[in-house]
Amino acid sequence: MIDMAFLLITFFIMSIRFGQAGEETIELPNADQAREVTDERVELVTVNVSGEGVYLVSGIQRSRAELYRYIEARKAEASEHRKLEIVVRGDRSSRFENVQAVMRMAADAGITDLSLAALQAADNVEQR
Amino acid sequence: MAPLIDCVFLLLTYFLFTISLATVEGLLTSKLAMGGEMEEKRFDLKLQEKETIVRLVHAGESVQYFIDDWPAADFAAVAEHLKSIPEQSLVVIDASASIPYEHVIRLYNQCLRLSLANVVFPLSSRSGTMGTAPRL
Repeated sequence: MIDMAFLLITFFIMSIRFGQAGEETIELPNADQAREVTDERVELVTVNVSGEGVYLVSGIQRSRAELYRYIEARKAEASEHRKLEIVVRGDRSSRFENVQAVMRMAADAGITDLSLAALQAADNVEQR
Repeated sequence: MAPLIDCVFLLLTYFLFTISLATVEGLLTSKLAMGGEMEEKRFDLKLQEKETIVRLVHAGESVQYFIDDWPAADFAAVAEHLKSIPEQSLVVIDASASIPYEHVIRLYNQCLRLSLANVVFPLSSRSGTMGTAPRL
């Protein structure tokens, strides 16, 4: 009995997700076509976009100008052998212009790979 | 032994209550056009014969869809129309700035579901505040 209980506790502990500070406030949209990226040759730069349009990178809040400088700096640091990819984790309620701005920054910085994060589930957009 | 099993059950109860049904996070991958390529794509947009422009605009509290400037009743009507276009077609998702992001993702996801891989998000907004277009 106690063995079973320990086994269950171990399972729960192992399945806890550890995320960056601030990420938990992002409620991603659902998209059943979303796929996991497992290519190790790709270096991911994750940009969180909150519902209020606040940009969070590695738990640090950044303005649009700061974010652009950060993306440019990461692009300059990126090695030739590892591609740099921007991952936009946009909150489902965020205005599209906030995500569009990140797309624009990536394009301006010369980054051609951009992904949009979503939960791998059937969409649940409210019909209004 | 009794306190230990109490602790274990307490932990177990805690985890059972706090666990949320795990939904795996994934990515909708894309390619951004850039530099000269972007200019070419912009040129392509004008010449592209099999092009469908889906516009999302706010209509009060709801989102109104337009397919090539014709109003669509709802998202289901847009999805139905997308089924009828060839896979090689170019789909332009032109969402206005204030549209909630989930609506854009929903439409993009629908395009991917129908194997419509040529999807473009114009970055030049109607207000003219932005410029180039990423090709997704």
